Amino acid sequence: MKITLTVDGAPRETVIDPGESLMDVLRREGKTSVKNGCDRGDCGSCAVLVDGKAVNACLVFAAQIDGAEIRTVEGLAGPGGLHPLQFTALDAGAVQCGFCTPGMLMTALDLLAVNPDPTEAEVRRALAGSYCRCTGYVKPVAAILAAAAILRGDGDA
Amino acid sequence: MSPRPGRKTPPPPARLSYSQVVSIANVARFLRPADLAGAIAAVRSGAIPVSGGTDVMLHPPARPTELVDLTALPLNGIESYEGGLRIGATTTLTAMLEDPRVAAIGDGVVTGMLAEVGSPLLRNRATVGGHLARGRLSDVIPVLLALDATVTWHDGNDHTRPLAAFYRENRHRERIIVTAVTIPRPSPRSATVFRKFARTAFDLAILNCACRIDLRDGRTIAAARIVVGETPALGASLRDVEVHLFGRPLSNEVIAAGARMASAAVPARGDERASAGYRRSLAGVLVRRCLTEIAERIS
Repeated sequence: MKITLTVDGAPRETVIDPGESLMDVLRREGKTSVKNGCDRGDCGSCAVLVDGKAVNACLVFAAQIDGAEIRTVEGLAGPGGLHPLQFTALDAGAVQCGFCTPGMLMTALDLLAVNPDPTEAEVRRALAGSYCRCTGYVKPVAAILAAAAILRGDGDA
Repeated sequence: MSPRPGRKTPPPPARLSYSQVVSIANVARFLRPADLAGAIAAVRSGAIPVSGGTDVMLHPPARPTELVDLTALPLNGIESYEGGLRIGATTTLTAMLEDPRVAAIGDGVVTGMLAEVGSPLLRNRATVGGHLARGRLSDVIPVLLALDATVTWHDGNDHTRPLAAFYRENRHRERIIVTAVTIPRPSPRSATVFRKFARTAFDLAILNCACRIDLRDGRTIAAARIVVGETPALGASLRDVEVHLFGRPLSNEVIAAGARMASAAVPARGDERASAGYRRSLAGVLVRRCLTEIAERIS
C-alpha cells in the first residue's frame, strides 16, 4: 500500500507492506538515525516524533499514520547549527557509542515541549524507556537539563 | 581485490534480503474505515481492531490477517458528565495522564498509576481502549476495577457493562470494538489506593493491588473493592475480603484479618518472575499497605 509522510519537513510518498513498522520504513527511506535496538519497544533507540509526540517507531504500524508529520534527529539541527539538545549532549560527554542518542534526544524534545523546566527526577522519568548501555544516564540527564535552561533563555546555563 | 584469472573464487556471501533483516507482522490488509459501521463489519468477518497498535505489533497474528485501524473513528477524547468521566477508546494513556479531570479522581489514583505504566514513549501511543480490549498484564485494569468503571463496546449494537463483568464473561475475546470506558466519580467519603510491586516503575508488576473503601457515618465501611493481580483473569475482586470488610470499621485488626484473607484467597500464579507462594505473601502485604494508607487518609 502507498502512504504519504512528511519526514523532517519533506513530504514523501512510499510503498509499504501493511505489516511494516514505522521504524523499518524510515530506515529503508534512508533515515538510519532511527536505530533498531530491540524491535519491541523496550530500548527507545528508534524514538521519533509522530505529530509532535515521541513514540517507539518499532511499535507503530506505518499503515496507520498516513499523512502524519514525522521528526527524526536528522532534522533537529537548524540553519544556525546544532540544536541545544545536540550540543549540550556533546559538551556534557553524554554521547559515547552514540547508538541511543538519536532516540534519547527526540524523547527529550517531546519532554521539553510539554515541560520546559523539568526537575532532574522528571528528566529521569521521561527517559524510563530510553536505554543507554554506555554512560549510565548521569551525563545525558545533565545535558538535557542544560539544554532546557538554554531553550528557556536562562542566562549562562 | 579482483580474482586472478583461471582461479575459482568462492561465490560472494548471499546478501540478506530486506525481508530477512526486518520483522514484518502478518498483515494481509490494513483497513481504515471512516465509521464504526465499516469497522465492525470488518471485525465481524475476522479482522483485528487496532488503535495504538503497540500490543498488536508485539503480539502479531500468526497467519496473514486483516487489521482495522480505529484511530480514524471519532473515539478519541475525555468528556465530563455528571457522574464522572467518559474516556474514548482511542485516547492515549498520555492524554489521560495529562488531563486534570483524570487527576481529580480519587486523589490522583489513576494519574499516579498511569505514571508507572510502561515508558512515556509507550504511553504516547498506547490507548486505553486497546489496553482493555487486549487484556494483558496491566496496572490500569485493577485501578479501573476498584473504581467500578464500566466499559462500552460495539458489536453492531452498543453495550455497556461493568468492567468486571466484561472480563468475567470474556467479552474481550469476542468480535467487538471497545468504544469507551466510564469512570464514576467516587463518593466524597471514599479513598482509593494503588500499589505496584515491581523491580522498576517501567517494569511489569510482579503483583499489584488496588483498594477502594467508601465509608458511611465517617466510620463504617459501606463498600469495599479489593483487587489484586496483574492480569484480567486474576484481577477479579477478592469477594471474601470485601464481605469481611463490609459494615466494619477500618481498624488495624480488621485490616490485618483482611490482608490474611487476601493472601489465602488470591488466585496467584507462578512464572519466571515470581513463584505463586511469593505472590500470595505479597498479596497480603499489598492489601495491608493499601488499606492502612486508606485508613490514614479518610480518618
